[in-house]
Amino acid sequence: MQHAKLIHKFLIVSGAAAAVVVLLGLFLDRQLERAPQDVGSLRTLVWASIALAVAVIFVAAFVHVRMVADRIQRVLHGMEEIRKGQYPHLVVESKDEVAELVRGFNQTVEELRDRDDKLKSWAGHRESELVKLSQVLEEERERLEAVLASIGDGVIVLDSENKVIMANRRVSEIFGVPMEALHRADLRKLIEQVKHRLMAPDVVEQKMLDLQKDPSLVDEITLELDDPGGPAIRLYSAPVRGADGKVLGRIATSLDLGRERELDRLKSEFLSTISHELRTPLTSVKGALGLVRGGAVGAVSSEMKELLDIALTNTDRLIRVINDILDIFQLERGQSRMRLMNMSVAQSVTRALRTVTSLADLRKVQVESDIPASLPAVKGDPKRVEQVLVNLLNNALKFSQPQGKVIVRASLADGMVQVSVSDSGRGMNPAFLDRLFEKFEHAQGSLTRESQGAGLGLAICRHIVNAHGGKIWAESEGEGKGATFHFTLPAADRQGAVGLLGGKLMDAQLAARRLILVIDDDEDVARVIGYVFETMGHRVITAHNGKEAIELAGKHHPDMITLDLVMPEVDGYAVLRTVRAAEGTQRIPIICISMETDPGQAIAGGADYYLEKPVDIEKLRDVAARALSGL
Amino acid sequence: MGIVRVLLAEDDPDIQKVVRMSLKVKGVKEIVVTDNGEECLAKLNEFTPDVILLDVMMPKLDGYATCRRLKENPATRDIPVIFLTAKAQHYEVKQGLDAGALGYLIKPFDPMALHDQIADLLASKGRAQEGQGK
Repeated sequence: MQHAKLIHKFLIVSGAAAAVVVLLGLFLDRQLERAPQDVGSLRTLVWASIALAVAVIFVAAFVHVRMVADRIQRVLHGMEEIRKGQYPHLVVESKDEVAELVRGFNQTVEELRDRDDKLKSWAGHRESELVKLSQVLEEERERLEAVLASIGDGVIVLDSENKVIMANRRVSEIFGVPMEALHRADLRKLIEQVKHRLMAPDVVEQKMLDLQKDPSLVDEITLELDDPGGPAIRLYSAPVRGADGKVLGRIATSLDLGRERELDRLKSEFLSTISHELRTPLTSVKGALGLVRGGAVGAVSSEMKELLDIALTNTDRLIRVINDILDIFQLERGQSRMRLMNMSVAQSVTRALRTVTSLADLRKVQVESDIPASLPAVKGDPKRVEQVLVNLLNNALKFSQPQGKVIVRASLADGMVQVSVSDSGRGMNPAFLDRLFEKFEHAQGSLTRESQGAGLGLAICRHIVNAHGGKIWAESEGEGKGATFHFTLPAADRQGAVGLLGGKLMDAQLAARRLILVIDDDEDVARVIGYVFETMGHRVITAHNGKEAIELAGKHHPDMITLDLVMPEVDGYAVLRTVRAAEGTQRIPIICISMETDPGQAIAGGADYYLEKPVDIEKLRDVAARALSGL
Repeated sequence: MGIVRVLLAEDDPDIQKVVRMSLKVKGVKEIVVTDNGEECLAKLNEFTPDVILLDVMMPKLDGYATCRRLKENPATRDIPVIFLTAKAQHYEVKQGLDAGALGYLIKPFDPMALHDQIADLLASKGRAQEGQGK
């Protein structure tokens, strides 16, 4: 087409040139016609020349146009080849403008080829870099997956929409969802899978709703799943925040409760073994000494008695150390639950002072107490508070010089009752005060210390006071300047306060609601006793035989027990012994209610109170109130 | 009820001596000592005690298993069993009583009071039986 257009244009130009030549011929012919002589032959010659010139013009123009058109056509083909990704080189045939065009074309093609080569080389380099990066990424992903897979606990990473980005096989086991289905799975749907095993579904449901509203508000989600149909686990989840504090997603890890329980079992086994292995040789020692001291093998002189008493006292000291070790272990494990009730500090102080009387006499130290009558009752476990007081008093006495003085004071401040035990004894370096309540610590160095004991007493005190919501600390101005130990206990609220009003106990209905175990093989009697306590506002559980009673006492750790002594199979005395012997239940107040007429045996067996059947309801209410108040 | 015949299953020789002497001094006539549960069961073919004292941790057959076997056998079912052991945790006491023991005494014990503790336990059993008969 281009070719034809060019020829057409050149034909027009050639036609125009021919027309000019013809017009010139006509002009010459007119001039020759006017010539005087005959120029006919000349005119013929002119016209023949004109015809020839026109023909030459047309042929020359056509040939020239044709040649130019062909060369341009080749350039056009070359461009077509470039479009197809080739780099054509055209032959330069002459030195005219078309040749210049062809040369320019060739140069452009060369430049294009160079640029393409460079581009290809850069792209190739980039591609190989990309391949390497992909390999690195793939390796990192595989490593991360291997790390996740090797973690025994479940690990799950969620995006900001709480969809799973990454999770390990343990997560798949926990939720019962195949690995491939975990990717992009919604956390809510996963939780749905285990809803029937959730320990606190309502709490989790609320957390999920909060999460939906504003993920940044939910710091931790804890799922506890029970055994049925899957492993018992606890799943902790926390938000992952960016530098600006915005929640980017969440990460959750699971804790296998099975393993935790196994660990707990092992600890318990260890405690049992250590207790057994220490008690066994002490049984022989205490037994042999006791037999000799008791005169089982003949008369004992006063000197022998003195020596045997030393041996027996120290045996008992060893037994106390064992009991302290067991106590601190159980307190640390949170197994020793405090039986909090409204109690009188003054009463505990009196009992503690009575306990340390012999030591005070031995050390020739004067012990006093100064407790204001207006001091309110506190929320505490009477036996444990007494244990703290005895411990502090023993320490004060041990470090006091003969003719020294130990004084117990108490006061109320900011809703807390503060009890202080001060001595005029050796005192200590103030730098040691903070470490005093650590296990196995003594104010003196281990080689130079003059006090006895494993260094557990104050650690036990701290655990007990902390478990009451109080605090314990010591003050001393320095060595030789005495020391004061303080501890606080929360004052009982006014409604629950138990005090002495005109010598009569306030109604126990005002005391906090307690759990009472009523034990009687006669179901009607148990029902009546239970009803009395329920009308006092307490909760009641009942047992109708000894075995059931022991089981319920161990399981529920009630705040008080009423016990029938005469029951088939395991009787009340056996229950009494078991409850008093077993750690964890030995401090529960027990009221024996029986037809037996000798309360002495029950009291000797460990009962705190004794009521004869048929029981007087008012008396029962009064005794229960006393027992629950620790008075 | 006076205690006349006692069968003791205890693997520690020192404690065997202490128990033997503790009971003898209080008037117990016959105290047969065995070293483990199996021996204890075997001894019952030739000896019927008023009470069996069982340690828990013993070779061959432990105290709990021994007590269960005693209670399964109609010939020995009615002999009172009391544990005398250093196993002091609540679940251990419960395990002993679940096995059918009359009582559970924890070591170390006061040797001069052991006899009376056993006697109290046996008396409580007597009272319970009377109570049932009421």
